[in-house]
Amino acid sequence: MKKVQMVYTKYCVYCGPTKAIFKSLREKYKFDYEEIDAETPEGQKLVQKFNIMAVPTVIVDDKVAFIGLPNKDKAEAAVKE
Amino acid sequence: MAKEKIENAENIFDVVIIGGGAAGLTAAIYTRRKLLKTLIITLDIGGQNLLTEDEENYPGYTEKSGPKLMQIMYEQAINFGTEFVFGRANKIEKTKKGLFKLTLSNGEEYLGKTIILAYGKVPRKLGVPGEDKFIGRGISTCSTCDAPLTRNKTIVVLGGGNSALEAAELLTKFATKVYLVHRKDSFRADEVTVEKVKQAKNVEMILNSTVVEILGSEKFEGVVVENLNTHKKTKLKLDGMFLEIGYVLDTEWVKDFVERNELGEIVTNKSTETKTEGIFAAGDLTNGPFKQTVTAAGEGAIAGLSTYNWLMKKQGKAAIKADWS
Repeated sequence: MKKVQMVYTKYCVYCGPTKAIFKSLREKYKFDYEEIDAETPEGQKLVQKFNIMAVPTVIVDDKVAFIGLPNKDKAEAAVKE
Repeated sequence: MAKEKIENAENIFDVVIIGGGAAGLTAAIYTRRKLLKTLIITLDIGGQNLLTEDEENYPGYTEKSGPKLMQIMYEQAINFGTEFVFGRANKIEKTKKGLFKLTLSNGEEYLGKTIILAYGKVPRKLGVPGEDKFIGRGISTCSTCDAPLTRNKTIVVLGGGNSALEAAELLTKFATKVYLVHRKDSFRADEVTVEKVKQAKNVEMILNSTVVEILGSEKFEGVVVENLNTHKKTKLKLDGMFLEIGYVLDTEWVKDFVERNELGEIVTNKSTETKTEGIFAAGDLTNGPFKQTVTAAGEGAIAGLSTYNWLMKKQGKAAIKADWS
């Protein structure tokens, strides 16, 4: 099963719309999905590990897949098995 | 008949609002409460309100955070059923059927019966190669949004006004090292803020200088700074850059549809109408005398209701005269 981690900050402009895209995809496909606040210790680990400098950053199976608001079709392709 | 078919088509919006700040979001709340099919096309949510944590004069709101106020308005607009597209509109055309066709920079097109221009001012660009490529990928125009990402990193802030100094002060709490690059030898920002930045141990000020080159091919790696007096160039190895060089009006692309004053502001009447029937304007991009969140929201409300009235009149129906009558 694909593992999707979406890193966000409190006042990030495109994080809300990005969350909405992945939440709607979860209604169609099965994949692990987690929203992680960059300010938490867990978030900071990802920020350092992937050198994240912009949010939203979406990590799929331990690789940065999207920086910024993803294209819906590409997001769908990324979560499909 | 074709006219009726188009006006009822699902892909045509009653109103397309350009801009997702206080004016645009408020306009959408009002148009949706009138059940108008409403689309907001915007680059962000909040506009210049993303820059302030000192929103003390918005009546009824005491938390002071500009971004939080904008999130609340955004959620209100969504809850009323506003649709959103994130992108930059850069062309308006009038169709033969009397609709407005809006084209985005990515080529997407949207049709609206009316338009509300409410995109305020846009961040000023630096104008050096590589800037567009790394916006959102190492270059940020929103320190409030991206500050938590700079922990243990080296970054540069560019600018000399209040927003630049406030950004630098915020970023000193996260980043290991903050360079502050400014074209002049003194700052326009409030002295209190300048002093706070000067007191920070992890700030290095580079004055009389500007960024002339961005380094990195696939990834942002740093900048070249040039001293404007000596023309000496210095490379800075960085993780990120924050552009805080002000906001500008961008009304050139709508000039065929609106009258503009000497400042480039869109001229409107009290009902927020422009010179083109069906196009309204609200907020910081108009010739209104004050640029406040509350006045932008007020103009947005007027624009929303004026749009409704205009559409009703076109259909031969009664318009609103006063809410209390």
